Amino acid sequence: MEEAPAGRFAEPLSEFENPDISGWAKASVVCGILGLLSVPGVVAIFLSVFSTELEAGNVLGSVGLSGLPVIASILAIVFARVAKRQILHSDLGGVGLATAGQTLGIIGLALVAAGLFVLFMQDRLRAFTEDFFDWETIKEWWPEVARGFLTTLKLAVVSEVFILIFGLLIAMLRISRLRTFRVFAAIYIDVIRGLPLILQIFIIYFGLSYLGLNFSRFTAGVVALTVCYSAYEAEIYRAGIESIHKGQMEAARSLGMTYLQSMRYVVLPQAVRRVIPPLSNEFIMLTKDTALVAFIGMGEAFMMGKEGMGQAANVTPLVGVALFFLLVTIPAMRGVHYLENRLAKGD
Amino acid sequence: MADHRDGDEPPMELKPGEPMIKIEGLHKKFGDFDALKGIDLEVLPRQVVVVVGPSGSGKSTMLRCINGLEHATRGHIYIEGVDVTHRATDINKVREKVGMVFQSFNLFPHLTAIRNVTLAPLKVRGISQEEANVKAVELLGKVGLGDKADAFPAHLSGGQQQRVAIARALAMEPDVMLFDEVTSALDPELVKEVLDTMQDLAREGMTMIVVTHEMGFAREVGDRLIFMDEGLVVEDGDPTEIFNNPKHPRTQDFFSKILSHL
Repeated sequence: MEEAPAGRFAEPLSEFENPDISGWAKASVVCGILGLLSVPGVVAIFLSVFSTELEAGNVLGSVGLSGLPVIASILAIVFARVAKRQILHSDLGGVGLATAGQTLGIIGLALVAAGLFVLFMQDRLRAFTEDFFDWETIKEWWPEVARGFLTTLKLAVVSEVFILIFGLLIAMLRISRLRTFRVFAAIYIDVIRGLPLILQIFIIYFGLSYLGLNFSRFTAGVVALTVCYSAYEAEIYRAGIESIHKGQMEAARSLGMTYLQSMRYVVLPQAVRRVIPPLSNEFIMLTKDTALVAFIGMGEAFMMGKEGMGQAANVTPLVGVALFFLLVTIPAMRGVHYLENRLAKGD
Repeated sequence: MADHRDGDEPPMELKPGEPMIKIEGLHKKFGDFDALKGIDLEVLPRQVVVVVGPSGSGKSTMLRCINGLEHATRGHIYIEGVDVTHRATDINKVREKVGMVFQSFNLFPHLTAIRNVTLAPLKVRGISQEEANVKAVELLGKVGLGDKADAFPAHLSGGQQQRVAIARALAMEPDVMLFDEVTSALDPELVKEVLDTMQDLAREGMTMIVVTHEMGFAREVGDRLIFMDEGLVVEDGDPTEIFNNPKHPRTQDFFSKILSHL
């Protein structure tokens, strides 16, 4: 920065507030507001997608998309640029005004573009909303879909309880001092993790009935998911246990505690704390993967949605299923993220 | 849980002159490396044995063999007459009588100081919660941490953590205490508080084996000093005697190195 002569600082600031310059900024804002005249028209066009009764919206829309808003928006952007080029950066008010005008101009152009796109694609969009967001179908099918989703949640929660127990058991075998246990657990984990889940679900379901075990579909689903997911969660447990310094086990053993007591009271409480986030992620995955149990005839969310789609000849029920899943999975993912941050600080 | 300490003989009932710990021809190999090459050692009740020597000389390994954290490759270790190295020996029962304190404290970070101290008595000896708490408060007071009972290890200084670790080991009412370089990980200004605690313990008559680099402690508190090098006991005798007049060239060399800056 160049050193200013001492005298300049004494001069009144008003010298820098060139009225012409902030005038460009003001003009930009005015044009930007004029550009927003297209809003009612664009809204009308959007609404006409959802109902043919609002066809009149097209007329209003055409007015909205007429030249005036477009020209105004472009002018808003141009004026803002002119203003910004001339404005002194000490004039924060002027810079702010110009930025506001520019933003309005961009919004105005974007609105016009969106309006034109919808107008042009109107027939297709109309068909799309009728197929994916049909009000009548929603009214008719939402109880079925909701009931299916409840089954999904029940399936996920019941399975998870077994997975947490069984997975820990496998992990303990995997780190056992007895080679036989270690090898068994390693084979189990590798085989399960090396197969597609859908294949395992089929094999377990039909395998169970071959063994003369006539489980209900729900029970079969729980068994299949438990067998599969336990392998993954066992590996997570193992990583957690191995991340605890071996001095912890030694200190516990040196006090006369048995291996299992040391695990139970010293190592596992620390390990489990560390693996809560990855285990929670597995649970979210599990919730999504319950949809695969539909293939052995379980009436969970996806199954109900698919049935609804067939009967109503409309995709809406499936969209409903998707929304139900997101309703649960997104908050759950946020929750895990929060937990991760808290645990990271706590350590 | 039944009181399974019934069958144990208290140390004072050892026959006169019978050692608390007796090590015979102890060998330990890690792969191809010979950590211990035949240790013979007898520790009498109430004796404070200080073990010094260069790093890698097998001091810690010997200590860890005594309470079964390492398995002896060859030889025998008897604690109050029970052979630790024997397959049929219940190592957990032996460990109840042998307290150990580690260089890196190894406090349980998820438990408060008092729960660190009460855990083993509750789970191993099966005493009541009240009894365990009373005992723990007493022990924490004894190591000067009566006011830190509810603090988590992360909120304690290194010296405080190590003193909790000593209280934790004492809570099992051991007959012998093993100290494995317990001040090596501490800032210099925190060393004294831990050594003072150990000195109190020695005065009360606890049998102790102390692996350390603190020569002042060795001289003042130790009844007996053992110098180890390359997996063997090189010199064994009165600490002051050995400091003033080391006989073995390796001992002379070691002391000349560590004492040259005093």
